[in-house]
Amino acid sequence: MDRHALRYLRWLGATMLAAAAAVALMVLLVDPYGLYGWVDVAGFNRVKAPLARYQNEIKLARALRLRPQVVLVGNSRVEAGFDPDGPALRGANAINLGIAGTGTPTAIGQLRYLAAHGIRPRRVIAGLDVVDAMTPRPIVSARAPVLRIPWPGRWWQLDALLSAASLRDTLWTVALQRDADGAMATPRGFNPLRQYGSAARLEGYAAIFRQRAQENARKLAARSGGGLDVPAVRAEVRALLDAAAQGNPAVRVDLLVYPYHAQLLAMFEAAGLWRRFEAWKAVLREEVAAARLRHPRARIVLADFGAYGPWQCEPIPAEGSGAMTTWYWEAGHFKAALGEVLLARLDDTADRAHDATAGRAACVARQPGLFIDAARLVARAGR
Amino acid sequence: MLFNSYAFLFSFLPAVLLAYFAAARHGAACASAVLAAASLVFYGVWDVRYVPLLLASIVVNYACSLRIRAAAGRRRKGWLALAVGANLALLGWYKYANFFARSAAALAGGQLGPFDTLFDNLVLPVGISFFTFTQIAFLVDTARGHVRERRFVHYLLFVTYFPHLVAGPVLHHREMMPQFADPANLVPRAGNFAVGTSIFVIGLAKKVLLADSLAPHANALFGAPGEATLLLAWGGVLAYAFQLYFDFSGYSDMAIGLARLFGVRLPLNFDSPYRASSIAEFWRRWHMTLSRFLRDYLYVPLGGNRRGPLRRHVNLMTTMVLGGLWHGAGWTFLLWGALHGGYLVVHHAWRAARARLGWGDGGRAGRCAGWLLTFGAVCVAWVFFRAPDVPTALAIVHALAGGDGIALPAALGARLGALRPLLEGAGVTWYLGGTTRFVATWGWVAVAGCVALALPNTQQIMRRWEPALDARLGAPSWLEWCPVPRHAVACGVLALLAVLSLDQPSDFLYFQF
Repeated sequence: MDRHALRYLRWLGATMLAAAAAVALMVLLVDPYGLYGWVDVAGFNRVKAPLARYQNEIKLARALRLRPQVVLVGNSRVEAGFDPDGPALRGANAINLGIAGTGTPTAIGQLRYLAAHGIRPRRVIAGLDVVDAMTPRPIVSARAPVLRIPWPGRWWQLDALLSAASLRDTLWTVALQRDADGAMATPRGFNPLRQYGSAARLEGYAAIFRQRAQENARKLAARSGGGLDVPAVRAEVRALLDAAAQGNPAVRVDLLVYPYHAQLLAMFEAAGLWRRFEAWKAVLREEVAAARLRHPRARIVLADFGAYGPWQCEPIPAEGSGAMTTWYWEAGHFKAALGEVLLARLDDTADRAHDATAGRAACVARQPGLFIDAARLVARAGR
Repeated sequence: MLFNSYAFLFSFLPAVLLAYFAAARHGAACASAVLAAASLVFYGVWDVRYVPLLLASIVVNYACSLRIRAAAGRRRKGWLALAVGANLALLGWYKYANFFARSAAALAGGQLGPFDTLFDNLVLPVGISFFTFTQIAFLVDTARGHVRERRFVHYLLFVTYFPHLVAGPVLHHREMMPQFADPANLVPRAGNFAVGTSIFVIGLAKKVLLADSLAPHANALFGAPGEATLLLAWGGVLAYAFQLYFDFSGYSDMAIGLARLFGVRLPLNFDSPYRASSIAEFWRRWHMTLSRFLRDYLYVPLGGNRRGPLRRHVNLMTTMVLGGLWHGAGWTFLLWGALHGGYLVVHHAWRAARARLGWGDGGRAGRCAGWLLTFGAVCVAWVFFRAPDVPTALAIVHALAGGDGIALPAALGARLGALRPLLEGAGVTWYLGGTTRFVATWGWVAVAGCVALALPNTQQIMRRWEPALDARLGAPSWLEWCPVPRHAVACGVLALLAVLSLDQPSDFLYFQF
């Protein structure tokens, strides 16, 4: 037995080593995370899947390689809403560092990381989400703001090269080349939500809007009795602006209040969050004014798209309708088409006063059912 | 320290193997001392605060065993009662004090007041149920005169032996202590390494590739059961049933494989329990060492089946309810135990009625029906085992019974074509979102079901190599292991896949018990 067993053990060890080497080689060649660039062949590995792991680390690694001049930070609304290869940013060496489910601390960490590596972009576009600032429980006293800044370590590089997950993503990447509707993302970090397109064709936009509206209603209803974490908002916005402008005096910083669709805005109202929404914007304005004093050479702008307007009031296609939308996938996520419009608005220096009351009235007149439906969804979620 | 962690696999285990076989050159006592010390380090990595508790428990129990051996008659019984009582008091304090105090306070309509913090800070020492039960069995066997080997170092190693310390199998001293003293186990043997490594790899693959993949689908149901309908509820419950099986049987395989590296054979703990066609058979195949413990040290002392059918049913219920409570202090565990007690009572009553009426076993159809009923009943009971509270469990059982209707993801419905109206006619409704979760849940359940029900188990695969103490040779299996290159390649690939999946090692479910 022992002689056979020894041979068995040798074979087992050799198999593990050989298989590990084969996995690493496959990952290097297919390069599912766009980290190595050894091979770039259409139909083999050119299209990459959206990042599902080490998103921050991989996006930052790509940024170090590209040394971008324009950096976009924020959550999934930025990731899916702004295409660095689109008309407005093409040729500007822009990178989209937006990551779904993250908040401002991640954006601060990204900017600090880039600065630490000598990358000082001439422009930073940062999306801010009011939902992150609203707490589910009332604020009882001014809390010390906690800023947890994620910082990429080194372990992920080994794991991205040699792990079952990287092997799975490698195989997935190869399969994705023949799937026109498969989820993908560009090397500059834009996620066009291709899978939404196929779902919209199959189920209709109404179903997508409805599903996300139910999720949003639950999320907002849970916050209806809470408060606004003002100290945290102040600390985060201050840190974000400082991270963009420190050692980068001529930087242009565009802070965005996201252009939530009217359905979501109506839900803010229905959940009793509108006053907090306005208070949050006031804090942003104050912090932007303070940052201008701290960084006099920088051009810091707050662009408030969080109001009822023609785009935000885009009609939601009816149930069973095959109609397409132009601007929104669903109430929380706008399409890159609207991203282009927003970028153009940011570049347009003309001061356009916006009458919020008139915008809402027009929207109610155009789509009264949307407001009734939003109120019903929030009421149901709150029960 | 987790078996499924890089630290264990690539630093602790190689270091302990080297130290053990180096120490073995100086004799069995030295080797056992090194292994016991390593086991204490293994335990201390979990929570060093409880190492003194473990050591105190071992020393006190060993001292009690000496007293029991030295005494006779009523004094012996007295010492035994005292020692067992002390063990149960320790277990009771850590495991049940919080539950009973809060239940009593709730019944009295009051609060715990100043004791609230005390009970809140009571943390269950990992493995306390296992090392307490192991030692109770030792004390009882000492009183019965079954203990021969009594060197302290072997006793220390028997209790702390790291492959079984925190989650079993529950060991008998008479199986283990002679093995620690066996000179044949003091030299490294390639045969033991080949067999042990292969069993360990199978266990690791069960845990990492199957149980951990099923976990999110079970968690999705038990975390938010409010929206469950028939297929969602069954998907989540089946995911949990297979997760628990592969998690725990994977751990047991790993323990058996690790012990084999040191030349030690542990008892078998699982024998394809989900293939059982009766609940009694299920318990002969599931967590076999615990079933054995409950039978030998609870059911039989209670009178077993020697005092008539009624008393047997009472004994069965008592044993299973206490077995349920052993898993955790909570009404859900109590109900789980009571359900299994009830199942066993019904099974025995049915078997007796069948014998009286002269009915056979129903042939193949009867066995199939028995399997379906057994598996369904076990799954329903798992709901209580896993649910955080009784209302949640009842809500899930309601959904399992179809009380909340049948719904499928709308995206799936859009792809069904002509089948869609037929399903709608049968009462199926559609819900938005959740398509990926639904498909993945049932996909993993199908894979896990095939492995659990159709593939040979570890014992059958390793049948010719005495994989465990009480392994049954059984019939040859098509997937039988032998030390040849093609099996080494298969095992190597499986090992690599499992090792590459260890980037975020997860706890074993049975650690919480």
